[in-house]
Amino acid sequence: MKRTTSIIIDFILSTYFAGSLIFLINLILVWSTFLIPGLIFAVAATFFMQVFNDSIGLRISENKTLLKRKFFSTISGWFIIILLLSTMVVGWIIVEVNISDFLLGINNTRGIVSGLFSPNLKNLVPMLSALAETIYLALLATILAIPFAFIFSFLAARNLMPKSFLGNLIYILIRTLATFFRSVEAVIWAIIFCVWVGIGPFAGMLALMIHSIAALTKLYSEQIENIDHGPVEAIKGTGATTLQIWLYAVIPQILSPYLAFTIYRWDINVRMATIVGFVGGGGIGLALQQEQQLLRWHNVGLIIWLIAIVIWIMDMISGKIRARLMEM
Amino acid sequence: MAEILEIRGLTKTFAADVQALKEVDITVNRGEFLVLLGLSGSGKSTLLRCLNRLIEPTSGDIYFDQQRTTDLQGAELRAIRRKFGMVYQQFNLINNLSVLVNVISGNLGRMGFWQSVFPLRNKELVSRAKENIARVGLSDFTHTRVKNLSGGQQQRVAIARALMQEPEVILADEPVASLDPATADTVMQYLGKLNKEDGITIICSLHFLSLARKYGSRVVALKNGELVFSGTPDMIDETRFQAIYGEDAQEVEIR
Ligand SMILES: Nc1ncnc2c1ncn2[C@@H]1O[C@H](COP(=O)(O)OP(=O)(O)OP(=O)(O)O)[C@@H](O)[C@H]1O
Ligand SMILES: [Mg+2]
Repeated sequence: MKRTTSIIIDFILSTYFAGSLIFLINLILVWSTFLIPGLIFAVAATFFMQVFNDSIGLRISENKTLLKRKFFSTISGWFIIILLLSTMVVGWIIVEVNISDFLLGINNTRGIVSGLFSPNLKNLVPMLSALAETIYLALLATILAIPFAFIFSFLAARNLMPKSFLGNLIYILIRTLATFFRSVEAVIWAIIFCVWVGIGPFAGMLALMIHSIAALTKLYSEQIENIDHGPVEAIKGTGATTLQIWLYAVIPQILSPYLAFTIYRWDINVRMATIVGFVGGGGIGLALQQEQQLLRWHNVGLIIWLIAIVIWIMDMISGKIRARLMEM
Repeated sequence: MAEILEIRGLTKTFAADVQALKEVDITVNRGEFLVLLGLSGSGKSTLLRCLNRLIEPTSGDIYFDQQRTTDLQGAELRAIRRKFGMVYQQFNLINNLSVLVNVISGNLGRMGFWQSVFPLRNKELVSRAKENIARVGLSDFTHTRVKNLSGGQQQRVAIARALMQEPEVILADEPVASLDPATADTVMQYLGKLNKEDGITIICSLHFLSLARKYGSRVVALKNGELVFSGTPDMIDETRFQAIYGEDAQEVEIR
């Protein structure tokens, strides 16, 4: 079994390496040129390394004798080095790294930089109201996410769900959905909701709320899985019902970490709200996008300052509150 | 003496090869102070938890007052659990809550959900809880958070919680194993008093033979999940001691 796994790993890595080499030769990866020589190379390399009992796959599956040998006296050791180097080189080419652009292009940023140093304070009032929109939409998204995440977290905690078929089904369903909704970025949700309910803060709020429900469900339920099981057992032993067990033995243990996570989430949501705003989710982010399109750099400068200040304050407040909660 | 508990052929198998209890038969009389002895891993905790069904037995029967408890479900199961107060080695209190609320939680089996959300509104319940707190000598700490109490005090809160159930039996799983000898004796005295004054049947697992001799009216011993001894504490001589704890054990080391 270990052997099979290591062969599969080696084959994938060798194929990747062959692909990198062919890319470096042609500077474009065409399937027809890759298929025959690439696969032959990969099969041969895998076979060769497996015969010598010296491959990355075997390292990963913890082959004892191989791990004892000196790193640089093994083929697999050198292969790791070569793979890292070729990845760097291919990456450098694909990303079109260009040092002279970086050094000489600095001139083009004059507009933004001067905007930053002389923000247009005449626009302070409308921009502050956009900022308030951002803070409120982040706050509302967080608060509306709490009840959903709270209930889901109990259903997604392994130690609370009964070990029956239904219990497992609910657990897996909620965990999978939470992972899915979390792995789709809030920006993508914002794009979806801008189509759904139209551009504006409501779309941004919905996007952040969906994302927060998923993220908080995960954090909350992990917190439940870490609780001390002793009180649960003791309360169960008094003849309490499941709801009473949750109320007395689970909730008191999770309340202050829940609050800490929620405040942390609000903090994150304020940051994300500016980005979500950029794609149409309202608030200061939307204003930033509009001013930037119009190249009004002094307004952009003002917005950047406002965002920085708010995030700095949020960070400080949420850090303080969380430290308090952790002491409790 | 009337019997309160009858345990017949009780067997608990965890994984395929872990047999925690093997065909255990014990009869417990009303008003007894039964001490459960046995090495670590001999199955003491498992036995106690089978009695109030915190652990499901694999096979065998348990009768409480002639009523078979091993198949009960739902409300009937909870009604049976109410009759067994339980005290644990690690206290198992809710650390963030006050002594008062912890003690009230012993009454949950008799409370509806809404009543348990606002327990302090029920005057009668609160005064009964305060009586039980007074019984274990903690009246001064009624509103203290449990985590600020010492180990011995916490175990007394746990005893008050068990009392709140108005139990017929108290199961004590190594109640003094994490306390120093003097505190341990105080806690055992409270259990002894409940046994003598209230006539509550007590089943208590212990590691110290000296405590078993002092408080137990009868001793049963488990070894690898099997019942190896049943009798009065003074019947445990050198030979029987070694049957329970193994050839090399000496009583001086256990004390
Ligand atoms: N939940 C469980 N899953 C698997 N095996 C268990 C479980 N609980 C107990 N066991 C096993 O059952 C056996 C008896 O355990 P038990 O806890 O009843 O012993 P004990 O006499 O209370 O020991 P101790 O003095 O250490 O508390 C042990 O071998 C233990 O490993
Ligand atoms: Mg035990």
